[in-house]
Amino acid sequence: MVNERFRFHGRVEKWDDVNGLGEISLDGDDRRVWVHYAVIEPRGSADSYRTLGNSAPVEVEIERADQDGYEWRATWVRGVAT
Amino acid sequence: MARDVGARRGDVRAFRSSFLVVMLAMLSTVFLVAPAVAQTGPLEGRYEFTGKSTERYFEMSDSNGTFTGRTSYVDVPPPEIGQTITMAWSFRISPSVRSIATSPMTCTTGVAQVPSYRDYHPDIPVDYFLHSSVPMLGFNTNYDLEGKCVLQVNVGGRPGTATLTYKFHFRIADGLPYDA
Repeated sequence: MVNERFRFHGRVEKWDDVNGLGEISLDGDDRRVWVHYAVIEPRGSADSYRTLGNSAPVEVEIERADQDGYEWRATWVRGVAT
Repeated sequence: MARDVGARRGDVRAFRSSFLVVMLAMLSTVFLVAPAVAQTGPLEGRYEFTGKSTERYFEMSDSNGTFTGRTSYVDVPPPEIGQTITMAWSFRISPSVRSIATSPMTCTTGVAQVPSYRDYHPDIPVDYFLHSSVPMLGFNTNYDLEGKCVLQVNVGGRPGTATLTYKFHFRIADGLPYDA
């Protein structure tokens, strides 16, 4: 179940497609969020390739974490059509 | 020349389903009895990455956690001679196991066919999103990734050590036709 209280709009600041890792910035918020391909909502079937585009707008849910130097980690990400 | 193409998607699903039943039965024993040392059967799966959009991501879960694997390789245009591929993977311990953890965890992962690759994380938080990448993988080769996370747990007042193991057997098919 998605918890709307923790959902934000943001933008992909960095994305390394080979390693499936990146960073998201939140709109109107200075927190930086660590993101991994495994939390990306697939387009189409569950088997679909999971990726993000640099600078792409996204919706993201986050949790506090101690993750690779980040204090926040994405638990769910979805690309937003522009 | 014929080649071993390994297990395909249908085989993977059947394997995972049957394995999950066994795992659930074992887990009910492990965590209800709460032995001093809890070592469950592995979370185990098999997959062939092909470069097609729906065959570049793998996921398997059980009551202990979730493992994923992913390659960014696409088969159009065809791969160049000598091209190698990176396989990224992740493992997260399930909320139910996190809830009984009483210590950080230490996780170690390797690939049998890539002796230079070893991922080692001592004393990391149990909610850490464990992730790594195996570089320099060749096409049409069978690889066996195996890892484990060890942590202290307490079930109903009984402390113990839990060892969570994951195994992922994979290959990356280049999709090129073979000469007769």
